[in-house]
Amino acid sequence: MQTPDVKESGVVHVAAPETPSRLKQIGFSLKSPYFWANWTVLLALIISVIVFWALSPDTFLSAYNISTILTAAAVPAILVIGQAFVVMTAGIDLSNAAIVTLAAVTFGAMFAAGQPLVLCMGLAIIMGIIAGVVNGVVIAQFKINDFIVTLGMLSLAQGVALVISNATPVQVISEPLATFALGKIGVFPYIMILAVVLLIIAQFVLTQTRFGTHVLATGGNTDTARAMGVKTKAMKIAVYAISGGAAGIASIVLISRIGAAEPSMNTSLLLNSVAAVVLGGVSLFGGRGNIVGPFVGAILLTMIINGLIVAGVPQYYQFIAIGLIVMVSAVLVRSAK
Amino acid sequence: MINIVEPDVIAVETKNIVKSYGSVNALKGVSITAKAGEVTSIIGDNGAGKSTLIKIIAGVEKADEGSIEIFGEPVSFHTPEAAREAGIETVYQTLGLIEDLTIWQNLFLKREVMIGLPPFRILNKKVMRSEAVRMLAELDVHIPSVKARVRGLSGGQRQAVAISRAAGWSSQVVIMDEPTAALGVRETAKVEELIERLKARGLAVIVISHNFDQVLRLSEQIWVMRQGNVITGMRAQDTSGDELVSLITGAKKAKA
Amino acid sequence: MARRKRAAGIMAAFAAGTLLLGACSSGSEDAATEDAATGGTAGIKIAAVIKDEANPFFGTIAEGMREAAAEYGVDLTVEYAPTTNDEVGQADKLNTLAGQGFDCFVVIPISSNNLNQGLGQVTAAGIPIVNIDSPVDTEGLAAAGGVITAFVGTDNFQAGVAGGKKMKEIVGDGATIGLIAGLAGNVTSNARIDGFQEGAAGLTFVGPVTADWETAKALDAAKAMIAANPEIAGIFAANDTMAQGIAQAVAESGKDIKVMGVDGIEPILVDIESGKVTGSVSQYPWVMGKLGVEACIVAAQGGTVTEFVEAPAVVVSADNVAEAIANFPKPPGTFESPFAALIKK
Repeated sequence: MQTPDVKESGVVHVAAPETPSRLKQIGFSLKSPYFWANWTVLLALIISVIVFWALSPDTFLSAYNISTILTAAAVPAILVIGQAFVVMTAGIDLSNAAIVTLAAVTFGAMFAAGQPLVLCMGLAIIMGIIAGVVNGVVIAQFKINDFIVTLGMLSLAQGVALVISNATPVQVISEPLATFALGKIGVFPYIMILAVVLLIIAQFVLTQTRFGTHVLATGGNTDTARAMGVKTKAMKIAVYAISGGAAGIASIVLISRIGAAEPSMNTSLLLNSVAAVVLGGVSLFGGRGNIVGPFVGAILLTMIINGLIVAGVPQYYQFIAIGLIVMVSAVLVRSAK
Repeated sequence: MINIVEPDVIAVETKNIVKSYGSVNALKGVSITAKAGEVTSIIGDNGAGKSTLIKIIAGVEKADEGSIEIFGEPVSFHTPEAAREAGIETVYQTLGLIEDLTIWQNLFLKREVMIGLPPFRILNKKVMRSEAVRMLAELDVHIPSVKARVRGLSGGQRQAVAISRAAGWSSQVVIMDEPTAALGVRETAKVEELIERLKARGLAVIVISHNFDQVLRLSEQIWVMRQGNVITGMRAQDTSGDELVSLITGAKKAKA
Repeated sequence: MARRKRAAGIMAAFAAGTLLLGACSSGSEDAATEDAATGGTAGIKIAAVIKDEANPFFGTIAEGMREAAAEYGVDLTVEYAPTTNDEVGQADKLNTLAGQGFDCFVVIPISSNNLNQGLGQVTAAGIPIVNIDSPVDTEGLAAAGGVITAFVGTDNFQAGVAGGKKMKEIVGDGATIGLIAGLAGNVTSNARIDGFQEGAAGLTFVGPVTADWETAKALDAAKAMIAANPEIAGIFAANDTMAQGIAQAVAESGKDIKVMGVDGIEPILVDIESGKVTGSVSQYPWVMGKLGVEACIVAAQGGTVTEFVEAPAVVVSADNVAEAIANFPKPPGTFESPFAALIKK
């Protein structure tokens, strides 16, 4: 390093350190565990596409099948956006599938009462956000473990949903919703386009705003972040609100697909959201990750089920294959730590 | 960011600080001074009250009795933010760095530079990165890239980043709690160089240290504490390692 | 970095291996046999999307379907719903199969509406749909542009009536009977419960409590019911998987409470023989499955199909359980298929 050049006036000039060459920078990032955590899921997706295409060359990559996959992936993808934010603060939302149900029956109740569609949708989302805020406040303010609180909310939301709906489904026959559920641009269903728009917004917020940095700081080391002045409590509440809101949006998509607001919870939505987050390279310990990885993970999990059906693989093997792929991918991501 | 150093200016003065936690009297009336452009060390055995005193100056705790003056102005800090606004920065033993964030993100945490019009302001990463490079360069800290995550840095590098952050944002006082306790010989030497540069910039540096050689090497002023009291204070040049040890252990009575 | 590459390779090998293993055995679902294949039916491909595999009722339906497929030499692919209540998961499976070039679909929807969108697309592609066991809501389906070619199922209301009459015979007037229903609001469940209450008119009823067709939930519901109503003389379940859970709750209570279910799955027949369970309104899923595939073959060949075919339902109790077990999965006696004659060989 050059010696500082002290002039008479006492001003010190120090030359800036050299930036490493481009090649060195690429090599540096290839060695980084962060790189692999992000890209493993994409690699897994590519390998899976190739394998399934090889098994069913005529049908797997047909336009119809691709849009079937994207349609099936929309609800999990929307949920995973919320779950990713939560996990990045070192939390977990075990209640998201139940909040979907709660939001759905809220929609159903409003719809059955003859309220306009936009109001029903708005209230579903608001109900989701409220449930999320409750989660966040109990966790942040009363300092109770995320796992336990959201587990409790799982039961609470399910119970409230049964009360609101009197355990009876509400048929939702609505042309705009049906058009929304069935419409496509090319191979891209409207519902997946919605999911992608939400993804873009979420990724932008995470990487380009102060909020995003503070979310990661809260997850990376809550005590240190708080000592540095980051409003960790507010961050926690915010991410759970996001997860609840995502569940609210997902409930609308779900209703549009099955034509009814059902009071029973779909637990595979919860399990897949957590699996996709891990597959996508977000550490369960918080502090790092992005939204794109988990989003791709959600699509991957959906695609695997589809690919197995198209290839004619019997039911039992479908479960085994998914389980294996999730476990192996998790090991891969973990070993990159 | 160079302060013109006036000789003998007292940057920080505490007068009769008393602090109790329940029935434990942590500080029983502590008065110390720290001058700008000098390193002031506080030494003492465990339980002497050094950390408590530091926390009060940094605004993390509030004194029960007594007062603090910064450059002659009485101050009362209710929060760490208030202390920071008065120009006081602290580097704790745990460093206060978030491992999974990059160096520039850590340097600018809670002080992010934004671009654009409210409410659509986004992070101005370009400016923050170049500023980060400048902050590290000012203290002659060598790190290949400010985009590196803190997790990958050595202990000495992390300490350097933490100190650069404190020095970069501080205008008056930098407090350090055991800055080289966990470091090896070479890294300790580098951190001490950093501290010298802070001094040269005219900051008042307050250091808690168990390493008496270091204390004698770096400091101009030394305060010795025991069981919540300041037993004595002296200029470093006027004392020796042996004397310090015996003052701490109580073998030698302090001069009034 | 080498470590990551190796791990990626292992993962790819794992995944590929599982898929190849699975794909090799995929032939087990295809019941095409050269010998039975005759000119008119060879090459016909039928897809079935039914409910969950865990319930033996649907397993038996699949058996009946495969029997018919083997008899007529057609290709049959069966997909089960991922879990008992995963409506969207079942819809996804239908959607996936809808684009695979099948000639006819046999479906059992979880709810009356969850498959409507997929079925709408099937109709749009000109493919016939045979609905068995649980009815699709035809109004909702029409809104999605879909049409059911034929329905084969038990009249669930009458099944309930038969069960109610038998229960009343056994417990006598004025007794208290508990009712345990399937998935909330489900048409099949409601029909059976309503029918039972008509057949057992005059008795006092507790419930219905929903147990989502699940054994464990029915067990808990029954326990609570018995505890809250100590004088209870019998419990009716809208299906046998729930009746099994109830039977266990009854055994644990030590009381003499009569348990009646619906479906007639094999384990329940065994329980009736041993006295654990009093009776079940037996459906003939095997027959339903066979008829479903036969109707599909006729439709795929372009023939006209009877729109509504009632499948048999018989109350099985101690009196006739031996015969029922002997004939399982077929009903005691004979049953004529209205479609067999219509199939062009």
